[in-house]
Amino acid sequence: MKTLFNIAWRNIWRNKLRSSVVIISIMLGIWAGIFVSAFSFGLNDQRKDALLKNQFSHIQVHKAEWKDQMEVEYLLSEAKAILSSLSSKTEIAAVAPRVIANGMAATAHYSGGVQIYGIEAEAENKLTGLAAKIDSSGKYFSKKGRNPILIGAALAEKLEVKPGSKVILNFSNANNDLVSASFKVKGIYTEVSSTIEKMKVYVRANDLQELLGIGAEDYHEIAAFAENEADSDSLKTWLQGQYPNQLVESWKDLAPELAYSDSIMTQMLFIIIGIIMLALSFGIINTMLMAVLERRKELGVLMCVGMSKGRVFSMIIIETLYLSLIGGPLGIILGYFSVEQGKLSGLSLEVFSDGLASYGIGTIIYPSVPSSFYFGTAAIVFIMTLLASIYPARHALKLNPIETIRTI
Amino acid sequence: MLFKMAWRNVWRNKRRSIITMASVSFALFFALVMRSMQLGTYDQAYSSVINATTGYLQWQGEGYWEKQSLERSFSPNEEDLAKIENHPEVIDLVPRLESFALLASDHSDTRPGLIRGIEADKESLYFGLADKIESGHLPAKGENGVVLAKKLAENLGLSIGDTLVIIGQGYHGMSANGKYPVIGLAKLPNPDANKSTVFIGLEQMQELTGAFGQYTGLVLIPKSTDKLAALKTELSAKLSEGSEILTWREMMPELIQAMEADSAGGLAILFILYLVIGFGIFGTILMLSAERRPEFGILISIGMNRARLAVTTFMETSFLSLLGILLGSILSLPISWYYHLNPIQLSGEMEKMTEEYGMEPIIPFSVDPSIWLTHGLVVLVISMILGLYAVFSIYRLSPVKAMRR
Repeated sequence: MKTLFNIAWRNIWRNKLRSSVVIISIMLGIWAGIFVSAFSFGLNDQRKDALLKNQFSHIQVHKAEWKDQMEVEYLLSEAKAILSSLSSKTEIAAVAPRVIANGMAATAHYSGGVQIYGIEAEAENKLTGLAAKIDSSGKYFSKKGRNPILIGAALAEKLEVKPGSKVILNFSNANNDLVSASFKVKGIYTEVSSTIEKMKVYVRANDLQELLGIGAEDYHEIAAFAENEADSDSLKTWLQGQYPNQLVESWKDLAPELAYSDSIMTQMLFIIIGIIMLALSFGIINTMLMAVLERRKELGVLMCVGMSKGRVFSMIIIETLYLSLIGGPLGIILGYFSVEQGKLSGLSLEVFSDGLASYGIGTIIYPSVPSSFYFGTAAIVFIMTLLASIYPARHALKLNPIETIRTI
Repeated sequence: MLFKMAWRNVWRNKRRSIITMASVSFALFFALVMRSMQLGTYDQAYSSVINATTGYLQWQGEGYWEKQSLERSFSPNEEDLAKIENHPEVIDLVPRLESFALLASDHSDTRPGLIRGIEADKESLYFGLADKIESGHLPAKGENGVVLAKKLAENLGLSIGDTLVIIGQGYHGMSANGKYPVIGLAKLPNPDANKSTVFIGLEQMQELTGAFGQYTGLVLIPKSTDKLAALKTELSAKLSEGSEILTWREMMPELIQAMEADSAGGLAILFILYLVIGFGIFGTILMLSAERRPEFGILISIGMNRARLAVTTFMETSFLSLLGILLGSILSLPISWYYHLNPIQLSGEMEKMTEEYGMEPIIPFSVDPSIWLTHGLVVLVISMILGLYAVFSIYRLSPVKAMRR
């Protein structure tokens, strides 16, 4: 058997140029395939991370009716208890309660619909890092000042406001009366998604509670971020068990399409690698078939002097495998290093910035690949090559030894 | 003669030629089906979003689009209006006056919404608005009543016959408050729009906001959507100061860029595929020119012109890929055509995802001939460049050495 491997190895180097072309094509194909996949993975991960951090968190608690209709009266009944049990849990990294009202923001220049988030400054900052998103012209909430408000950059542009300007918020309170209140812009925040910038404004929870006419410990929403995203589901079950009357949701319930694209990503990319490999196998089959055909005579002689058909068959298969076992791993290694390099430097997609922002991600993409993907790719390369080798190897078997050595 | 020789040469090694052709046609087949699907999806996404929102071209007050405030609404002067209306490429003008306001009913929360003052007949004729009405009817000219998007009506707890209260800001800081009977419900495909849109007659809207004779935009209905940019430039030149014409590309750059980013991803995969196929073709050409060295040597030494030999070989390799290209194109055509006529219906999570982006959950394929032309040409050019290797090796060939082997 060892001899067979030796012979096969030497055989593939008999025509160096031809073998190299196949090996290089496999290498480049796999390399490019891995890199494109890493890019897609990176894009998807970044989008997911950004949306979880900024918008969904890992777990949210509401009153059950809230999901259908965001009415002021649908308050969490055990907000304080939920808050304290969440913050005492070690798996939870941050938790913040919110009061939410739908309304209009207006200045003399523009008026538009907004979601008004009444937040606890410190807790919210810990949860979503809001303070860091405020640009240098303004500041984050402090204890001081009357009715401060944070406004997204896109909305601020439309309202034509800057820190210090006044904005009128209109919304209805717990008695269904229309409330109109003046707020002073404290800061302008920027978000990767321009849709959020246009939609969300932040005020202090106390100010909003007062205007809505609800208690100081009444909230509509509690959002929590787990130390480890993988714990979201178990934490959700635990919390739902503790508070059966509230609606507890993990990000997978809140953004099912996000969870879905996460789960089909790997499949999609394996399909792409498979297609690349399929295209490569045409080249492999062709090369190996030529290798068999031009060695008809030699193979005939080998069979005549007593080499069994099984061995001839294996020899061709081993030769084919050698080609891709050099090219494939080289491609995977190259892929690995370029992905690692990409992780450090990132790839800039400045040209698509607006489109990406509406998609919820920044313009620098950091490719990343779960390590299982490399093994999966290696398996695909191996299996596809094995399949590709059968045709030329079978062809070698069908040779008639007498006929092949008779011809010139 | 050369042509015939090249053609016969292709079939000297049938198996190899067929495998090479198969690889070319596979790659092209895949590329074409994928592009046809991608571009078809974009087309339908574009047209559904465009028709539901801005239209292809809009004539607006200067700076309106940036601020979208009533203060920047405009009223076109007679002269400009005549110029635009009489332009042969413009079929019609659809006037709109839109603004945000708070909406309320007597038994619910208030919530923000977009009030769209429209001319129902024209909106239905060009944008199929009437088809979206589930019950009731659109306000006829002069009729006092509003049509609510379905989800919005649910949220407000309103149905036909109830009264909607609008509280908003009008033109020049006037208050815009009014009460209107609900005369219809519309189901809008975009979930955001379905939660927030109110349709009202244009004149009622002008009266409500105090913006008499004003429009936030006039949607131009062009004869053809192919040369929008040129039409825009031509029309803009005729306008007097104070108003401008925008194409949908200017009004919705996010949409374009998101699609372009997606398209670039698809092209990257095709690029890899072409790279791989290119190597396959190169391998064939390499083998072909290596195994024929003695033959080339003989031909040259008995007096065949190198140029003619090179042309023959070049033709041979081009035939190979041309056949592959034809095969791939022909194979992909029925698939694209079938799905063009019967778009793939998305279901489950995919359906939600597309609806979230405000599109219909279907994937129609495009049968734009330019897809076939472009990709066929790309593959042909790749193989022709690779074919130059054979030409090169013929010119470098030393007949004596080649024959001696």
